[in-house]
Amino acid sequence: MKHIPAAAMLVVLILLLIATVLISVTLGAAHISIRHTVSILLSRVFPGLLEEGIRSSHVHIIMQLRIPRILTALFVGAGLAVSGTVFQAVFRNPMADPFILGISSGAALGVAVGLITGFSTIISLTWGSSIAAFAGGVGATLAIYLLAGRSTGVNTLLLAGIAMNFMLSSVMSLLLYFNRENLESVIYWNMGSLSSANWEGLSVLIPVVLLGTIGMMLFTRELNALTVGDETARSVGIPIHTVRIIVLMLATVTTSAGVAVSGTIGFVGLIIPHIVRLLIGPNHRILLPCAALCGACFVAICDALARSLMPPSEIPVGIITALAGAPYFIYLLKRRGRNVL
Amino acid sequence: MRYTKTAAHPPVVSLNHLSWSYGDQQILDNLNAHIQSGVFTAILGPNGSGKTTLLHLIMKHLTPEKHCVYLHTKDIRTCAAREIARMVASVPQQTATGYTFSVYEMVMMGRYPHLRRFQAEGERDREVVRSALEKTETWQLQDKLIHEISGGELQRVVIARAIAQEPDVLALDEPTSHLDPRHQIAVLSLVRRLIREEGMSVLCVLHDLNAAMQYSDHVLLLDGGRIVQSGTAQEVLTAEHIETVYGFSTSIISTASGRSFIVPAEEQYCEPTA
Ligand SMILES: Nc1ncnc2c1ncn2[C@@H]1O[C@H](COP(=O)(O)OP(=O)(O)O)[C@@H](O)[C@H]1O
Ligand SMILES: [Mg+2]
Repeated sequence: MKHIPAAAMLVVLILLLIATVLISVTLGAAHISIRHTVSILLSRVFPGLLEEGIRSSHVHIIMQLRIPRILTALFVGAGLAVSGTVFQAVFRNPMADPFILGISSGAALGVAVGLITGFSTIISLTWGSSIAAFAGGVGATLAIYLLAGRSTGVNTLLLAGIAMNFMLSSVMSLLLYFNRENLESVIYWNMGSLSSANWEGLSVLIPVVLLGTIGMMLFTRELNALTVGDETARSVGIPIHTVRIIVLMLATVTTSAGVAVSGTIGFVGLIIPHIVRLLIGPNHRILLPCAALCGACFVAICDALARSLMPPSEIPVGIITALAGAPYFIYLLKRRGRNVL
Repeated sequence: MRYTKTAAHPPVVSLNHLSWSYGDQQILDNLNAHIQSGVFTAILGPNGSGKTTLLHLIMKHLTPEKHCVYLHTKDIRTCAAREIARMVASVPQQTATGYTFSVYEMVMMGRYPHLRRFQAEGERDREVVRSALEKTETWQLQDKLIHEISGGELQRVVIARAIAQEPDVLALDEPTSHLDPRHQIAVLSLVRRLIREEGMSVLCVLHDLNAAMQYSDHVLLLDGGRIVQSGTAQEVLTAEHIETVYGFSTSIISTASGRSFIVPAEEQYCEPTA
């Protein structure tokens, strides 16, 4: 298949991003017109532009509920997609993804442990949860890397991921069982939901995702060579073990920051890199930014659906992404014999 | 004063008491050798004799003990991976082609050790890549994807990638074992041309004794992790040495033009069943 030029793809994705934001900012129980919404947004930069007659409750809904939520969706999605791309390159496996390999579960378990032990409240809930998520995610990544990192088989890696997921989710269940008073909120969060998004969470999420993504972008040449093969990468002078550990850690921290605010939103890191790679080719220099934009749009759209499919109740966005992602995973598994990469 | 080749060209690779073990399994046992610059050195030996392991140690894919492997005059332990990649380029036994990069992109990857992190590929890099593609006759393949080309073409592309690294030493691991006879000759002739025209040194693992006889200047014969013979092809590849190391008897046949060929001795043949 002929690949789409990178510039065209970027333009399309940026337009899609703008459209997604504009549409999802008007969705919700309170009917606030696009015109009022734009006016409220512009007035943040140019205070004179706030139109007469806009209710202050609407300003609050836009600025304190919808915008933080959309931004959270965008950054979580971007982070998950970029991390998934990196996992797939490092493990040279189109089914590697932080969710499937149990990295997200590790981060989630970290968050749960942090909450239950009270560790997370020592500093601030946001930073505490994030640090607990980093610790859990890093632990899971190291375990997976040691279990399956050296073998090249797709199966070993997936089995290691399944084992990891089983183990972590039973530990999680055990924790919840003994802390039943926290049950409902933690279960809801664990299914992947953006409903508690706020500016404070964003103050951790945005810098971590930005820095993590920039960090991974520094390794595009190494990632390209690693996807061809270890032998090629080593031969051109890449210290493969060091590079793998660095980029996996960047991907893990980026994923974990998302998990800390929104739980485990699955399959984004699986589908998005795969589709984007089909469209624009395997060169990470364009693959990573396109995956980031595409992942951002995907999660924002899924969240818009999550909010508006069954009003007034709201579906955890993780359920929507899983409904889209699980069939895609099975499809990939079925065509694995052929050249899936 | 007598002009000696060794004095004029210090060895490109030196092995000093080099040993290697995987766990408690000793693979290489006290190797000593100097690989001369500008020559074709063939590494021969039965399967499992440690040839691939030796190449890995010479590129620090496996890290040897201190003072055991020198590139030029530098202990390889003190060299960074990029620095080694500018001195030694490897053509591995097998090249995976998972993702669909083009031939051109693949060869450009050879420029990695010459590029700084924020440096874009420049005119000189494109020039080196163009010349590598031309030398390996893969220029017309440059837009093809690497999983779309044949084994022989891929091997030439991998060699082009190695040439693009502008190394002093080309280390090839059984470069001809998956190729048909025509491509075997093409690859080995290309390697000889690189020695002649670029002054590269070549270190090449071979299984084909006749190819070693025709193409190499120097032969290291390995057996059970030791260098059991070292010398010119004529010196090393005698019926006696081959019998000892490979355990089968051969005759060496010389042609009128002075070339030697190794053929299995009569008693090795079975009657073809009708
Ligand atoms: N990663 C490894 N772990 C343990 N043993 C190994 C490993 N790689 C190779 N070996 C062993 O080292 C020996 C030499 O292997 P190798 O250098 O590949 O031989 P050759 O290339 O001459 O066929 C073999 O007995 C092989 O089983
Ligand atoms: Mg070998």
